[in-house]
Amino acid sequence: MNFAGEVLQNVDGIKYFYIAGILIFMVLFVVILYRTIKIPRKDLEDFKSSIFENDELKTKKTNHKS
Amino acid sequence: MEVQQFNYDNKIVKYFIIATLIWGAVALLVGLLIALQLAFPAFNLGLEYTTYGRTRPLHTNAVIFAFIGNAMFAGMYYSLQRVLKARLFNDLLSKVHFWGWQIIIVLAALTLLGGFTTGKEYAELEWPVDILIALIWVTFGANMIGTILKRRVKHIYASVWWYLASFLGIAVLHIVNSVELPVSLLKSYPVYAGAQDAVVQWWYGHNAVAFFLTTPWLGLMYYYLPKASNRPIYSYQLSIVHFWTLIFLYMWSGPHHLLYQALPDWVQALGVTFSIMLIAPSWGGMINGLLTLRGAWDKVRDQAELKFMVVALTAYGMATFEGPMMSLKSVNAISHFTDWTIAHTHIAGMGWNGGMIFGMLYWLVPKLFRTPLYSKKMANTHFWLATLGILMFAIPLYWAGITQWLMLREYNANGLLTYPNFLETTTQIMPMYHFRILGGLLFFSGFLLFFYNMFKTIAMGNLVDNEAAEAPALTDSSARKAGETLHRLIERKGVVLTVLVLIALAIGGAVEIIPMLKIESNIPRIAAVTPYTPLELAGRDIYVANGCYNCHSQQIRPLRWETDRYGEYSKIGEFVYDHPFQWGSRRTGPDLARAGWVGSSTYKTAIWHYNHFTKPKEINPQTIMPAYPWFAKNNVDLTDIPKKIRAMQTLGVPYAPGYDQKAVADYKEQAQIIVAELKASGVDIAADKEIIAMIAYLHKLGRDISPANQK
Repeated sequence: MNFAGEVLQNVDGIKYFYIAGILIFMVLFVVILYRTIKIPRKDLEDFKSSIFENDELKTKKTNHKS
Repeated sequence: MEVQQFNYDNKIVKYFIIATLIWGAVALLVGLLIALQLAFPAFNLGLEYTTYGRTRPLHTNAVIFAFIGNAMFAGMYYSLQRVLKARLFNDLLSKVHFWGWQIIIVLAALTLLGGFTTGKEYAELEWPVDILIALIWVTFGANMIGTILKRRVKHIYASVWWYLASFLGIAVLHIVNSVELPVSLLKSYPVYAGAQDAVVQWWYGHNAVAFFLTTPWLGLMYYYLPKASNRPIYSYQLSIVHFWTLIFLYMWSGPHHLLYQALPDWVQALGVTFSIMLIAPSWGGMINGLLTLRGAWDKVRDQAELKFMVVALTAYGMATFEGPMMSLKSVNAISHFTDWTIAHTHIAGMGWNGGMIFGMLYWLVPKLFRTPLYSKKMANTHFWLATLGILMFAIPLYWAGITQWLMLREYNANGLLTYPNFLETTTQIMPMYHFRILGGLLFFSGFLLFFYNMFKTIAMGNLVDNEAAEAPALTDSSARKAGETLHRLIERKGVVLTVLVLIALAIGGAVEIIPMLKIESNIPRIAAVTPYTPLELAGRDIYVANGCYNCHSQQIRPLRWETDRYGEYSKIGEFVYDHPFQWGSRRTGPDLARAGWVGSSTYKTAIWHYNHFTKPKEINPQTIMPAYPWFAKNNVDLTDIPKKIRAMQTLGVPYAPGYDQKAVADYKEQAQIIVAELKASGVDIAADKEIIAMIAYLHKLGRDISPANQK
């Protein structure tokens, strides 16, 4: 039994797949970073505080970065 | 807006907590045992079930899946319900998950000590247990995803993304790495062979670290650290960026376990590159955690749970810097196969995972049982014992690793190895092994205090099995709102999030593994390399069953001090019939890749092997190898031989058609040659004893490409 099957016998330029992988990563990283930075501060404060019950967090305002 | 009443399931959390405490004690005790075995071989106890080769996998599996696993589920199930404001999806699934997981652990203990193993690290469990793991993992996933779907909050908090990624990552890794062909109820062969098996195995092995020991614990950190310190997480933006980056990059880093080994250069380069890149998202998590405590460091002084979490995050940062550094080929040439790797894994395991478990439970148990911690003083004492224990464990092992490497690579004025005998290096690092035992004892003592403290707190407290809660019903909010960013939209949509996470995870593995499996040119064949004979195959299975790979490697790197010591470096084409590969990851004993190459330093005669297996201390008084006298007593089950040959044929090993019919006859014929050799040396032994098969296997290693075979 040829476990791997006969789907691909040869792929020219297989070694360049990893370059493509790095490029995909870089593009996605820049996009995600940009869109994340654009999230409104108030929304971020809400998300961060969402795990606390009403009276748990004494002060909602923190010196923290969003 | 309708406010709905519901209950949180606390009982399942309690079950997992108790399982954590019990299995933690077992896992650490086995760890102490194997530390003793390495320094004092008498602790192998003279039994085949308790030899180091079998107890070491028991320790790793117990720590990872029993101790850390149960703690992970406890922490997840508590936090998941509260961040989603929903009871767990299904109580029956919860119970099946819990009891199924404990059954897996018991089966693991029995089978590993019994010698039923695949021979692949952290994936040793045989195929029936693998199937059970898959079923229970799916049960867990269904329970978690079901809870996400019935949540009462619009946005899915960060912790849950990490839990989801963990579930998906482990599912993919386990299924792909566990594809094996059963031969009998407790024996199988992986469908992959040699270098392909190595790539798949270490893609799995490193990502088991990623998606079992890292991502769920980052998710738990994102919940328990803010709760324990009463401070929201430092930066939600950072949590988004480092989440996607980490889950994408981690999957590529597996080949850093195989540097300088018989693998195409492009695969090694991938592993190195992405391992270095991994520093950034890993430190993103560490920074986010530590900066959460800005303005709250006074609390760290007073709360043991925060002390542990700070040590955990620091250890995480250390390990995730050290790991990428060890992925540099120049550093890896030093560290690989030495105790440096063991030090590294224990900084991460004891520091990061241990610290997070202790920190989480010191906060969670009093909260869950509605009582103060039984003894804060005991908790603080535990903290200092654990921290000192980690240092006393790791520092001697760094010392041992560097010492051993320096000795192994030293040349004298004549250009010859100064220490040609591997055993000289083992003897030199014994004092460091004694310190390791002390470090382990300290850590275990701290754990005993923790164990007592937890059970006393539980006894004092009062668990509400079904804790009442209320929250507004979730209104339908599937449409994207004006001004809503894409990530905010994804955070609201569990299914979309799941699919995107799966894509991110899958890319790295696919790019590395598929070409290795499909492209013939990646595995250049060597015409002289032939399949194992039936006798050699039986010996190989005994080698795997006894975990010889835990101490011995079969992989000579193209480094001068290795080739001068062991012989010709290992070629990828030598391993094409190795199901599983047995390259090893640690040299407590010498490499064996040329044990069948007549004239090499590791070639030994049949009578030498007989004496060395049965009475190793008579050959080398300073050896730490356990004795295996049962090899000379136990019989090989010859009825298994035809089945094994047929299985290998199915996997593509080119035995002649119908060879299974004459395999037993060939077995006996070859065995008689070794029997005659032993008889000439004064040892009378039957041909079907295990030791004959072992000798045949060792005499096969490297023989095919040796000059003697070419003639």
